[in-house]
Amino acid sequence: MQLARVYDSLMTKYRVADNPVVTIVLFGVLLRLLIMPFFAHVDLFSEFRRVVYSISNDIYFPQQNRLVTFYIEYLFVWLFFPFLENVDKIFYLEDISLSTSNMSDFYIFVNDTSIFRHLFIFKLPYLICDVVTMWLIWQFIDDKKRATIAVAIWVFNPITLFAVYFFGRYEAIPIMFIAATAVLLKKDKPVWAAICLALAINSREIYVVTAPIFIIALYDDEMRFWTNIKRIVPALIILAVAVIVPLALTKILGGQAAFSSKNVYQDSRANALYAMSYHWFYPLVFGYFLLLFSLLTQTHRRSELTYLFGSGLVIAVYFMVTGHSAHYVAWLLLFPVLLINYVARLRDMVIAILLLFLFWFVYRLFKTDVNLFTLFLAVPFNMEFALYKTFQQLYMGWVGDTRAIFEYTKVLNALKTAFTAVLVFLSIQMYRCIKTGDDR
Amino acid sequence: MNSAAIIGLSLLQLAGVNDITINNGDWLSLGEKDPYVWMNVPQTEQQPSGVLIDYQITKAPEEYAVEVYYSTNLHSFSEKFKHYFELTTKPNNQLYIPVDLINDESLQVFRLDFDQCNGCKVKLNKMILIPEAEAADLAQYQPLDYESKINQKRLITAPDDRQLPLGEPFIWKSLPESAKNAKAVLIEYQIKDAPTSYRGDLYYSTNLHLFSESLKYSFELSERSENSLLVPIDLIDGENLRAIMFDIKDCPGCRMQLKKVELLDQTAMQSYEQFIPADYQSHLADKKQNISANGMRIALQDFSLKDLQLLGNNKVKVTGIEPRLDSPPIELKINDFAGLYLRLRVPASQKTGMYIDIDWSTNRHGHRKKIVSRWSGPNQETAQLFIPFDPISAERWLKYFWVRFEPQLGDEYSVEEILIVTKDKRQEFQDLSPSLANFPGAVSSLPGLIKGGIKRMLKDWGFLIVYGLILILVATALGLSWWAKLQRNSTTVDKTRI
Repeated sequence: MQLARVYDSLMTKYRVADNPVVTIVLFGVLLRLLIMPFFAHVDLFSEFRRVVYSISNDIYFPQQNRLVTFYIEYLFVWLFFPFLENVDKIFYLEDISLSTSNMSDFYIFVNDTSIFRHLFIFKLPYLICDVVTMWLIWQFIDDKKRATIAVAIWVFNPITLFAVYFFGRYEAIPIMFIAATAVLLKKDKPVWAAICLALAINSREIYVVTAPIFIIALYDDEMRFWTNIKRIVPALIILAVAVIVPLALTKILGGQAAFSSKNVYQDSRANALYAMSYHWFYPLVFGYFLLLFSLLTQTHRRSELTYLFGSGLVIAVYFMVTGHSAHYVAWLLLFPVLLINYVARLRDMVIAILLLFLFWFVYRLFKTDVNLFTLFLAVPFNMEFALYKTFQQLYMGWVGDTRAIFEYTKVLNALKTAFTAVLVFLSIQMYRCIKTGDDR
Repeated sequence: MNSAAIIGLSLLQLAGVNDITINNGDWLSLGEKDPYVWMNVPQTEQQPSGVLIDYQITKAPEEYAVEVYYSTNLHSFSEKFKHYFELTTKPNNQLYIPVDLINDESLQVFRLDFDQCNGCKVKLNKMILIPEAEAADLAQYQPLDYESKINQKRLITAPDDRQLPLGEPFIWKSLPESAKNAKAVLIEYQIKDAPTSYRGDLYYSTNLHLFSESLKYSFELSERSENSLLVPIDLIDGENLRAIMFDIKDCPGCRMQLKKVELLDQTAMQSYEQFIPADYQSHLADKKQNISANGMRIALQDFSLKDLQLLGNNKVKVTGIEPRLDSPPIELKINDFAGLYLRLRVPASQKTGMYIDIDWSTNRHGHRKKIVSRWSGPNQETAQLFIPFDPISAERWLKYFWVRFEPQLGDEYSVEEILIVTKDKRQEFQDLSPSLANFPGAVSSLPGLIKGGIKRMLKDWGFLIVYGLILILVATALGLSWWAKLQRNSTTVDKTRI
């Protein structure tokens, strides 16, 4: 076949000929393309209504959090703006302070015949970032057989597929920056790594918890004091600036960001969090600080290993003690996937990751949440999906009034506990990497 | 109180706190600004009749206050659903909060505000949902002014209008199940010191919170000392009578004693027919709206106008920042109707599209939901909108709706038709309207779902072509990559053989 030969020679030319990973990535892209236009959660509409509104009204400082995510989305929507339809009606925003969509507005968005193109355009930046992440994973892992497995896990993992393409959340953007942070740390480029982490923090605020771990990871006790200072201080400044810039921008622009009245650090829920009002917050703080202290006394020298292990662990602990939304688990997956580079027994880590997928799926199927892990996400394809019963409702119908072991809340709690066990198991596998990673 | 009294779970799991720090041993340290805690109420089959709160307090001033709010939704607390306790520095306290809700309402949230208690430390020991059977035992812990408050809450007239001392409060907190068969209320009363003529309004209601002018009958009364009144109850199927109120007007200084208040069913009512007010039939006729084959037409004159001025000829002009039409009370089961149809002549500024918000409510005490419609049409003066009721459960009743306009001062609209469309006529009116909001009525089978989805896709040919090309491109690349790999493998195998 002539075409195949041309393709083959092209691939050889670009030195990726013998990479089954190309097939895997192409398969992943096709799979993602098939999902993109047909699924969405209300949050996607809220996000892009803000973006469209900002473009139409010349708003350049929309919110204090997730600025990088916003600007990337802004750029894409701006490029494709001529292809959007019925903008005035669909993205109409009556009150700028209430930019989170209600169901009525969402139905207007979904019901319009342009829904498929809109979803496709809006998810394009996510797809691109996701593919870059695949490439970064490939780059990060030395052994290319392992790299292929890691990329395959990433390509077919249900968690980010759900978060980014079914739910329609922007998690692919910060994840890409975190992957870049890891690659740059591995190449011993702490300043560039710090810049990438800064971008990640301003794409998704959760990654601010990895910043102290990043700084600790840069410290090497075999290096001279001043060498350490030279590595750490610039990174510290970059990260500090990353956190301060949005706040400073608010001050400089003399007021508020367009859409949000409060940033996440000032949000009442965050205040409640810091006031330790939530019972689950205690173990999280405990675990976090214990981890920081332990990392400080570690003697190994691989910055990227310390960073990946520490960050993976802190986020795993977070999901051990909280439930929250199904798509948040997407924050975790990259860390164990990159740590595949260091595991002694690849099989153990792969099993841990597969168990994570399985238990995450079953637990979320039961937990459902409102419109979150249900067929409601397929409403863009056909509005009738909104009327389908959730798995929770079906299950309760099957079990009926039984108050035995199969009662819904008992099953849910058991599943949450099993999910926590999987996270602990995964954490153990990540911890093992520290040992083998140093030995190598 | 035995353990059977506990329905649902203890409420001690706080959903959140404001201006409060939680210390060791679950002591709450109250801040100075606005300290409160709130908790979500687990949903149980049996509705609680109240909540018992048992708490300890230290460092409290001699007098402080606690306000307890309860709510049927997660968004707001209303002053109507609040109890107020003035308290002193007892270390241990019990408060009983009667929850005054009606049949289909459910208690969702509960909030405890501490007032004038800066620096106090509070420990919540118990918060328990109490079923109706146990409520009476706890009356000693309820707010002192509970009875009077609850009655006041149900009066729509100002207190000044009701100077006569009534024999007993003329309210039923909850009427028995049999009340749903009631077709009339018979009232016998004695009155003294009455003027030659005065007025009595009998309100009846399907809830305990508010009496509406639409469910009222007014009597012209005379100075006769013995009086019997029969008021037919004009409710619709599926609604239950929950409360009535007899309000005497223009009768200052009168003294009245109720002799008899009875609910009558259809049969019993016939034997008292002579007491039915003579003008009752015409009163009913006025009330009924004309339901045509297309649906129920509501004239502009029946709406209350806010920030709108009626110019005559069905024309209104925007005069304020919140222009809207408030519907008269309507009583329609959503199941029988498909949506709301509006035909308006719109001002030039709105010719290419406009935004109309329809708020609707299925009860009379302010719980509003919102459906939105946007009109996007060719450049013409007449806007036709069809707003489907699909987001509202078919089992509910539409009782009010509000039509909000764009707040463009001076804009004039001609309201040509407002119609609540019957199910049969849905398609007809839906087709008239280019409204962007729409919603399915029922679920199809799986092939139907797929067909429906494909049908939707075919409406955007432009996208379909581009999307198809991208898919073909990626699929071809994938196929080639696969093919190249197979080819390479076979070449390698051949070479090995050689």
